[in-house]
Amino acid sequence: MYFMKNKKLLYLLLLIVLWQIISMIVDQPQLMPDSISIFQKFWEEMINGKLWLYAFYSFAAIIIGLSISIILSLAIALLSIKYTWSMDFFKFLNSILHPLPGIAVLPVLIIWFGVGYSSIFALIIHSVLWPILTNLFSAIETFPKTLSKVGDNYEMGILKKFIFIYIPGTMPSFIAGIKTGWARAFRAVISAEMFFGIIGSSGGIGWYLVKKRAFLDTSGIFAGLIVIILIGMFLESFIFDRIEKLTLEKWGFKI
Amino acid sequence: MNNITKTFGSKVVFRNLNIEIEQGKFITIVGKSGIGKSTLLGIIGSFEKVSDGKIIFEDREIKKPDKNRIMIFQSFDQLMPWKTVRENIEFPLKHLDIEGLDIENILIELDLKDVENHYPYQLSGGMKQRVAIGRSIITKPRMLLMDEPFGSLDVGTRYNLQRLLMHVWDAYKMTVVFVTHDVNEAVVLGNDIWILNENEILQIANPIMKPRDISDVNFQIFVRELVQKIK
Repeated sequence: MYFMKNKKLLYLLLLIVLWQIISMIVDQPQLMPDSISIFQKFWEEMINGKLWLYAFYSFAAIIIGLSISIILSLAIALLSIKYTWSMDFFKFLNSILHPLPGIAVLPVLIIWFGVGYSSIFALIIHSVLWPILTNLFSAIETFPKTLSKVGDNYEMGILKKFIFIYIPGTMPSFIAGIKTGWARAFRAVISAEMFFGIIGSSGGIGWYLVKKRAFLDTSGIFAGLIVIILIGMFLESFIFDRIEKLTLEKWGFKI
Repeated sequence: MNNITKTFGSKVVFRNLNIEIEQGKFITIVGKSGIGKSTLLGIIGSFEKVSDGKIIFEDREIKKPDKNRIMIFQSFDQLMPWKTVRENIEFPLKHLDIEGLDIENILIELDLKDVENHYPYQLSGGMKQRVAIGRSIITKPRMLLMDEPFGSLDVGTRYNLQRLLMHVWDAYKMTVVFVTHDVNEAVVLGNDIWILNENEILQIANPIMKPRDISDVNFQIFVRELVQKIK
């Protein structure tokens, strides 16, 4: 009965069993370690190998980069509501830079900022800013004029109108932009970490994977992948879903 | 309004128009579509810039919209979807930081008490317009500018809202300028009916006594007279 209600859990169990069977048939642990040893490794690495610390470094870098991007995108949006030239200019910039994959700009960023967190943050900002702006711009262009006029009627300045009318009014597009941006940032960060190796005193989850591959520790690689999946699921199902429930669904933007 | 001229590109909508709106009146504006009724209302509220001329409000020249002249629109998206009925109505008070009318009274008078915690998407069209009216009167503005607010509502709802608006006008003594394409509605509501024709405004006092009944013979004769004057 419980499994009927939680289909996802059922599928997960099925996947683990399937993996176990295939790995037993293949019978080459260095190519395909069995489920049990992957979970053992995961547990061991979490406790002794400081896997959680690697994960924390990557996660923290994304959160900081994401926050900077959100502040930047809001500042650009405010400027673009007030001045049409700003909207035109940033739309043009967006059309050039949005298609550029994060990892492709990494060599330039390294020359500009060196190997370190500055480059990582620049990379995250590049990955996140454009998707958010794309969404924000289309939301601003289709924003109900009547709502903006209501703000004028109550003598609100541009800043007040932005905070109390435009930000909540463009929330659906804003959240969609952050979701796309975060997924892009995650990919970019892990690639960059594989590229950089150790930054400061430790490396992120990308560096962890590179190290495990070098020692041909296949179970270790899978343990790292599990962590990446867990971080993704945590953000998607807990953070974003919760924000959407508290805003969009409550306001009837999404039913 | 003195010598108002309004052009869109090469098209002249109004040329040297002079009108005066008396405090406390209920004025309805009718005219055929595209003649500039909404533009005129926009000029009165300072939402539309004039090409030439001055708008004087209580001896002061005004150029920007302000809290004394509140606009109510036809479109339902004038409410904030992220605020409840109560929060939408209270919104201007919070931002202007002024004492307004009592929110409880407004909710009761506009029959919104039961839905005060609902969000706009949960409301019918008529309810949404009642919320918009509530929000517009809570700050006790001198003038309400209404741009076909009941235009998208069904006949029954429209009738109820007309009664309600008359009641609000009686109770709070605001000047109302109401644009409509429906001559019947104009006669039900207005003390004065303005017919907007190409560069001319005919101002006609409403001879029909309240309560005005659409099925009354005199009412229908008067409506017919008005319709003939719309060019």
